[in-house]
Amino acid sequence: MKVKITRARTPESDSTNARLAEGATSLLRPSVFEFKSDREIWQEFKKGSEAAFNYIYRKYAADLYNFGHQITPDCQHVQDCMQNLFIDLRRRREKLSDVTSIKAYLYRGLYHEVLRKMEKERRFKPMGEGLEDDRNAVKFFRIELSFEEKLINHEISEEARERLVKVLNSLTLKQRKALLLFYAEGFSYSEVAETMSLKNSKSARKLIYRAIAAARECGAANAAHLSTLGR
Amino acid sequence: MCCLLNKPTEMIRFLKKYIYKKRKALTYQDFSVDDFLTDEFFVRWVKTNDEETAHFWDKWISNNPHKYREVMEARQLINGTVYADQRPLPDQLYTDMYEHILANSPRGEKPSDGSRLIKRIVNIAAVLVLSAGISLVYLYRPVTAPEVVEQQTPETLFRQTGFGEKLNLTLTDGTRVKLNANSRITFPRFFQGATRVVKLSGEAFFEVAEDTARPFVIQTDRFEAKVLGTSFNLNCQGQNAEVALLTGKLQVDNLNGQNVVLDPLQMATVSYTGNISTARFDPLLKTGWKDGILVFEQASFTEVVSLLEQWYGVKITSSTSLRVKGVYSGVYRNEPLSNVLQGIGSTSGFDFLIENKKVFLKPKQL
Repeated sequence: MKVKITRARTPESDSTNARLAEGATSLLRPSVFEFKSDREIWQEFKKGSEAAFNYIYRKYAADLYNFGHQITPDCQHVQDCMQNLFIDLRRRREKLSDVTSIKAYLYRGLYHEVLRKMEKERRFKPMGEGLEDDRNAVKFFRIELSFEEKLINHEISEEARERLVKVLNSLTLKQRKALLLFYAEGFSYSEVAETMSLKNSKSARKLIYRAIAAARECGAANAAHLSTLGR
Repeated sequence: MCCLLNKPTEMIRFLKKYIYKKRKALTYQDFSVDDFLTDEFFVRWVKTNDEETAHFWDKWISNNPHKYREVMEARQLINGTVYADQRPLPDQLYTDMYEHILANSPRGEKPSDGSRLIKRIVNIAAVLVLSAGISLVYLYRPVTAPEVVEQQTPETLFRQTGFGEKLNLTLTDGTRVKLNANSRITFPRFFQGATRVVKLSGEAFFEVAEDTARPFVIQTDRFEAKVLGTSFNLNCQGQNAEVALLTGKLQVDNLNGQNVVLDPLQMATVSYTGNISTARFDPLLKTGWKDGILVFEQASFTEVVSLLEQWYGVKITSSTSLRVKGVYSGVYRNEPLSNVLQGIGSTSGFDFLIENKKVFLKPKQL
């Protein structure tokens, strides 16, 4: 059986700005921040380094923009929230706490900013869409499976893939978010915990473990067991 | 033991603990696909393939060929998981947001010493390279690249206003300048030489200190205004650049070498192509802003909105069902935004909500 290769990750989407940024740095000099830890970069930003801020923006702007769109389809909304987030960080820069993962920190900040703004604007739209509203929540943090690697003698069939995608998107919003952070973003458990305001990396692990277990269960209930993927 | 655990919840807790302990004892040898999927060290290898993880997993797989199937399936699932709704950030927006952020927040380091200054220029240059070829909205006027990173030096200073801001300043020769919102003036700390030269973008009202020996020259991207000692308003934002003269005499030179001399209460408008036309003007309409008087003269709804945004530094959005037709005229003296909106809303038929710096307009409830 042939695997249909879905290229959800377009090469342009996540690399245009990155390439531009690379071009820019190579014209000048390689960024000194490439070799520094998040903690060090954050320290420099706090001390007032504009170069550190520039680096942070350059590195995470595109990812943040994408992440913001997982909670709202409104581009203007995401744009406003990103700007507010960065403006606020720059205003409070000296008072900010230390950070081990800049990306996780920014993601959490943006998430709350977007929700806060939504909450505010709901007053203008009486038929507001709450994240908690289960009927609507399905739209957010949707997962796609896109297999580019071909496996010899072991391919996940297109039907199995579609089934799995359906199952994954039937998980709770929290579970989908955790899976995307862990797999699509490559976050560590502690970064997932930081982003989602969980107690510690153990809670993040538990959340992901349960998400997978739930997906398996749901898949089993849907007749075909998932361990028969592709066969 | 069962009698100790008579409550079902306790039983479950105990079982979970037991199962967890047992799971911990598993080695990679016994791993199922799901175990790999939840193993941080494994996921890190798949995602980053860094030195630490690759060293271990490459070896492990070649030693455990019977686990190949599970490893590959887990790999495929990890790599295959992507956002269903991916939204690339347009380059234009990337630079626009950066500018917006910088314009609305305090700068970090102060250019106190040379090396820092260079760092900052490199920093700005990096962003410029990003925006080059995409947008040059940065440039207030068509200047050559090095001037863009124009810094405040001991000799040259600038003052700038954002939305909702106005600024009064007095130059060293005694000339008084009122800068309207979204404007910028560059001037020397001390005027030297035969002329007093400043650069302006945006709008400002000048009361030039008299000095017959040294004319005062204001350069904009459209024209130069040369004066000896007068008061006048100069606006070079939007479609037309204009100078409105209140007192004294003033000469306007466009960049093609043509000029006109204005008498009091005459204004000159310089078009995009450099054509100069003159007309009489209503001082209240043209220079009222310097005294806090907000004037609408036959203004369309979009003009009203953009003027209010500029004047009060707010962002105005309106409900999609709101339709405002016709033009609006009105005069407000130092009024808070709510009074102004009340006034316009009553004739134009909208209600409003103000929250922080955001204004929302909606059709009036009948």
